[in-house]
Amino acid sequence: MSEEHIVKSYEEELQYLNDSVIKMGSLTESQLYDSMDAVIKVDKDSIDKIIKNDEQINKFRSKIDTQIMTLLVKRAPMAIDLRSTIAALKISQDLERIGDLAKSNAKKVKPLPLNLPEELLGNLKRLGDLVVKQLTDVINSYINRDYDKAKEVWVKDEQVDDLTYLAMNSVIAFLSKDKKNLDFSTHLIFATKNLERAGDHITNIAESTCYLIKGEYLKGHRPKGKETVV
Amino acid sequence: MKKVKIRAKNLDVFYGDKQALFNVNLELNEKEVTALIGPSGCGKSTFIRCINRMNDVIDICKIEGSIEMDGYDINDKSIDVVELREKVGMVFQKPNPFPKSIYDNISYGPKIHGKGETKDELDEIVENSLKKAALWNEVKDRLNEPGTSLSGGQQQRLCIARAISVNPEVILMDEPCSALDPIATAKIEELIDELKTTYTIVIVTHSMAQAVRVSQKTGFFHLGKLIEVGKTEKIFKNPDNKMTQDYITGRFG
Amino acid sequence: MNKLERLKKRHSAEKRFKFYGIASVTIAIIFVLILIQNIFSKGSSAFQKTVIKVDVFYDSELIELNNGATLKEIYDADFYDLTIENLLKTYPSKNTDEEDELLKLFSSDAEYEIKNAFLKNNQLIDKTITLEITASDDIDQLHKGNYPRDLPEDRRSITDNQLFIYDYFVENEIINKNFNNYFFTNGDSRDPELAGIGGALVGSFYSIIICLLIAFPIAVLASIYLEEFAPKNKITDFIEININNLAAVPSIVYGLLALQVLLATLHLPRSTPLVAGITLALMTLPRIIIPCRASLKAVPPSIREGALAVGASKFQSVFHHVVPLALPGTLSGTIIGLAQALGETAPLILIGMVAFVVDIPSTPIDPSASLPVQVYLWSESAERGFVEKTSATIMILLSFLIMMNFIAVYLRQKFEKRWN
Repeated sequence: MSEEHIVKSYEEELQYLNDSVIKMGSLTESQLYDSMDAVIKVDKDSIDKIIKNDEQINKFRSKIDTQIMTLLVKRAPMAIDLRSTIAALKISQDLERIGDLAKSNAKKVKPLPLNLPEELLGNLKRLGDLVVKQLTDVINSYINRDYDKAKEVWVKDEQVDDLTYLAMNSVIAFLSKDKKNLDFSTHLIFATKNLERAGDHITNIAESTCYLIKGEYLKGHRPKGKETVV
Repeated sequence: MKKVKIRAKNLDVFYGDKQALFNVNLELNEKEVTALIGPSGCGKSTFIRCINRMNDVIDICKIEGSIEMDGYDINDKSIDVVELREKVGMVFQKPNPFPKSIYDNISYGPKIHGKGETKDELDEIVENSLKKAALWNEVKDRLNEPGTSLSGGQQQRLCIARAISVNPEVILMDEPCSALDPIATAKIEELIDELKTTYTIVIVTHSMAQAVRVSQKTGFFHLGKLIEVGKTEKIFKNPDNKMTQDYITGRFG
Repeated sequence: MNKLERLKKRHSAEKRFKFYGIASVTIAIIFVLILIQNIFSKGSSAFQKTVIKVDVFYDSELIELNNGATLKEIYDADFYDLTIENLLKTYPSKNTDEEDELLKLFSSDAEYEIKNAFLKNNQLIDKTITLEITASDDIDQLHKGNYPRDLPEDRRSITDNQLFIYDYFVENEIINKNFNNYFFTNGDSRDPELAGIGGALVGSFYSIIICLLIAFPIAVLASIYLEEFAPKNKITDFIEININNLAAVPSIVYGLLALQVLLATLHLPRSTPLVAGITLALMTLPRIIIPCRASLKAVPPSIREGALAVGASKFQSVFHHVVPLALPGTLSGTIIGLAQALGETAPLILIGMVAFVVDIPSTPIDPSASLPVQVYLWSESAERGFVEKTSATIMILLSFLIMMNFIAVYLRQKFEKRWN
């Protein structure tokens, strides 16, 4: 019994799909990191680059869609091959959404003033670091087909919720100090929200990966942290 | 909860010195379609031929263990094999209608079992069987033409009608569509779907997709052993056994 | 260049092969045509007989009959004197020697023919009718152009005077050729002009029927048993080898067997179609079993399985499905076997069908001849008149054989079409 498909091209197609997802994942990773960096450092020069890179992510999405269509019609995949094909579809969707959120955050850097205080950005930075790490971890769990790691990410989303709550409060506190801050504060609020939603998508990726590996859905509601007001 | 119609217990089958089936334990539920899959020579055809004792015609074939239908051991000396075959019908890989008229093909079985004595009774049996096999409309005007004048797909439906004509409880199908084109295959699969409400059906197939489409339960054989058996959806979405998965995904076989 | 050379060689080899094939077929056809031409040219004249016109006056003084006499009275009456009187009228003879010679021109059957005419119409007393009386065999051959009239008189059977009378008859158109019904209605005879195959036909017919009635059921049932029901072991293999060998045994051996068992031990009547039929049946058994078994083997196992699956017993599947499909092959094999039996000579000679049988047999236990034996017997006779009859009998025999073979082929094609 060999590990490989009898039909080599089938094996190659599955492998190629897998690699495409991984590459899309890496790209999304760096986009997310770069956009977080830009927000924290208020780096207005990198905005255009980030917006342009998002095109790449969208291209990957179309490419992966096409590959999946071809695989389904050609091979009628069964069992693990079926699960991995469907997982690739879902994960690429989630990755694209994360990419869009990263782009959206990058756009919000423009109107920000240059010297923002630590207490405003501190929690936001911690949230951003966590989300970026979550993404890295979940992509690794996909690459290595590591069930435990994927489940960890799924569980850790609780922390993301908590940090979102804290970051949100920081911004609201800053806002209430001086009404002049309203303009960029709203941007920061939306940026925070985007990160939370990125975290949700990462959780989806974790669920898809777990189903891919075990063929069962993760049971129960995932642990939720504090609800934010907004 | 479905009732068990046929139960194979610790079934071993030998052809002379060569063992073809090893300790097979398999339950087939009534009014359900069970698919048997596996690579060539894995014993699935041997298994279904045990159910209607077609292996009896092979002198060197020996059976140990038991096969029970409705609780009775079908290999017991007290069981009349002719009566068994009235209850368990079979459709073969290559359609094999008798070289007689369509009418005679269907009426032969009931006649020899004493099921239709008057012409009217036989006419009714013939019409009902052909209707159940979804062939009546196509042949009702030419019942006296030879069965061999039909197309391949029609011939196979004729063979199914012939199996139905003696009012069996179980229908065994050994790769019934392998000699047919896709449209004929689709018609037969639809027919199987309808028949399962009345009969217990066991189908041996090489087409994974067909097994998924028509069956509710699937058994995977390899080298004479039953490797895994379970609900069809489970087997094809997430089988427990690695060998099963390797076979259905095309990693060996 | 090599490729071209090889191609040329292959083409010329194919052409040579084609030529050999056509040449062989042509040579075979030529031989057959020569054979047919030979037989036909010798035999076709047998279907005619030479007759001499005689005005027969039924003189009431010479036969003691009246008009309206019963059949029995006519049979018992003596027509000899009447016959002589009327025959002599055909030519003015000068003396008794010449009268004797004149009478010899007519067949010895003349008296019977004259009586026969009266049997058909018993109102002929003192009336005259013109009859065509059969000529003797020498005149018959002379008229057919087979007689060496150029030989000196002491070396031939016809005298100069008789030749003269013959020429006179020819000139006056008294002598004629009619269809030879005697050839078909009469049995064997010392007189060639009266000899016919009637007895041999009936004898052959009875023999073949008896052969068929015995051989066919036994052979078919044996084949079915051996092929379908018998266990496959050394004993059945042994039987199969022996059946194949029996088909090749020279037929005369069966004659010896019949002589010892049927005639010497069982004391069955000699020279009868009964014994011939039994002997031929023994010979034909393996010749039917072999094609029957082959036909049974040729029935695909899918038919048997289909029947068994529907709940037929082994017996039912064999007799309802397999045997009907094997029947065309079996029938054509049977017909060919019978055709061979029809032409058998050696064994029938041994059981005594070589006797001289005049009467046409009415039952299978009356002594008779058979067609090929009749050919053998006549070919041994000295009379010239039998030569044409031998060839004519061969023609009849051949036509039966051809017809039977055609029926065999037709049956086989008809059933094969239905089966496919």
